[in-house]
Amino acid sequence: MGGVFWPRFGSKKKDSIRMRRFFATTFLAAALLSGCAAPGELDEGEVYDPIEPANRMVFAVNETIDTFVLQPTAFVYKETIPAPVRDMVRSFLDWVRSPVILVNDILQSDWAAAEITASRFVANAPMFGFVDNATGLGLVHRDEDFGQTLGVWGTEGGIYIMLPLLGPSNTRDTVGRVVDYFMDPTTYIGDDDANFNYQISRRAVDGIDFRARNYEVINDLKATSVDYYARVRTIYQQARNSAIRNGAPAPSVPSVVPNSSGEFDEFVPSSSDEQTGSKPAASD
Amino acid sequence: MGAIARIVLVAAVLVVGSRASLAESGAENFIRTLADRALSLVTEPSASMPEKRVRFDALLNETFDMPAIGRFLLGRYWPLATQEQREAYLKAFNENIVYTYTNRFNSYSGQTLSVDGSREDGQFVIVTSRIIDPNGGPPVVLDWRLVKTGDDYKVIDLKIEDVSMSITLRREYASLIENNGRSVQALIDALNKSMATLKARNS
Repeated sequence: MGGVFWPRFGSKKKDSIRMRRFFATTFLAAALLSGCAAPGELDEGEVYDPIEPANRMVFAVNETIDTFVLQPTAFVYKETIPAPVRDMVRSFLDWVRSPVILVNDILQSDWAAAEITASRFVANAPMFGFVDNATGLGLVHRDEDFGQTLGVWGTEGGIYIMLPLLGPSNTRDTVGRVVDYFMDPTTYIGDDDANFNYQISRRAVDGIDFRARNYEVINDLKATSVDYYARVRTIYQQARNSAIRNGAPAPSVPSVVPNSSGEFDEFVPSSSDEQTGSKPAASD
Repeated sequence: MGAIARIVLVAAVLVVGSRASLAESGAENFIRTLADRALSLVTEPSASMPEKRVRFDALLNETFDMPAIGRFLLGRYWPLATQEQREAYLKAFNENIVYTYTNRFNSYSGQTLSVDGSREDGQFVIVTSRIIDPNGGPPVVLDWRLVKTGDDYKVIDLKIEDVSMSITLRREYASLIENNGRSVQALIDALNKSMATLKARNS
């Protein structure tokens, strides 16, 4: 099934070189792009999306794939596979990511999280991650990736990019994906062909499981939106910013009355507003 | 001077401090009451869906500052709209929210809201809470942003897992308006079109 989901590389030895070149190019392009990301005229919190027309095209293709491939597959998956088995799949997928999470915990100097990640890995190792005993022991899974690490180090998102099949991203998180790939020990296990198939299947199953787990929510988000692309774009940014802060409240921004969301400074409650005429809109 | 000034200062801090914490526990109770009322509406077996919509609309407008939220979502485009457009937009927006949430009533399966705490955030109060799923799913974090109006509170934003509904809709509306020649009418039309689909889907 791999071929459907990814530009197919051949099946020879030189593929690994080709693949590495592909990733190296992506990396270089992403690095160059983030270098020239200079959003000047953006409103606070707005996503920098200078390649919106191209992104919207990729998004339309992704949406088509979602409608005709991913959504039906996820539906069958959640209706035919019993929940405990699906939980084992999720648990395994989380477990194989442990080394990457651990390295990122350490790079973020989050020693408490590193300890939890390492303990989880050991606690779930006897059953190769399929059985999650760790959560019951109070060791709760939390994902980290190199995009988040860059964020913790102070890197802004940069340019918003809609990746084919992989969905919303930006220059920072795309770089993060590539670095995570090379950080991952499973990248270096087995022969090239087997490894390639493993990497593709793992991501495909991950995608199907994610879609199945959020089946109603995602369908709802789509059905109730007037501009689904824009909705996904802002949700992606808010969710990533939250992941970088590990869910902690945003620091207060300087304003008249400091609060964690400067944007709500513009909010005018009904009672203090006798005329709906000229309310302070954003200064362009 | 020093001693007296210090006592006055301490007294002032105590008064302000206790008032603040009182205000915040008031906010927590406000959210508890809101959740209870919403839950009893969702689980009401005798009421029909259209009836529930009417009652949800009333609860929403009593507890959320809907006109102000609507204005905030339009942001810089609010002054561009005519009076008729503003009214049409506020109506469409309100109806859209009502349908979005009442359509979810049927998928309710015993979840409860646990109010965990509150804090002041500038001119607002934020109440933190979690949806607890009795079926074993992970809890969902909900943060309510409230504004105090007189003795009462009004909700102006709801953050679900750190994603703000108000900010999300504000961005979405802005994008749609920008991509349609800065026309507020385009947004009103899109909202009404989406309403037609929502109504067809669930009625």
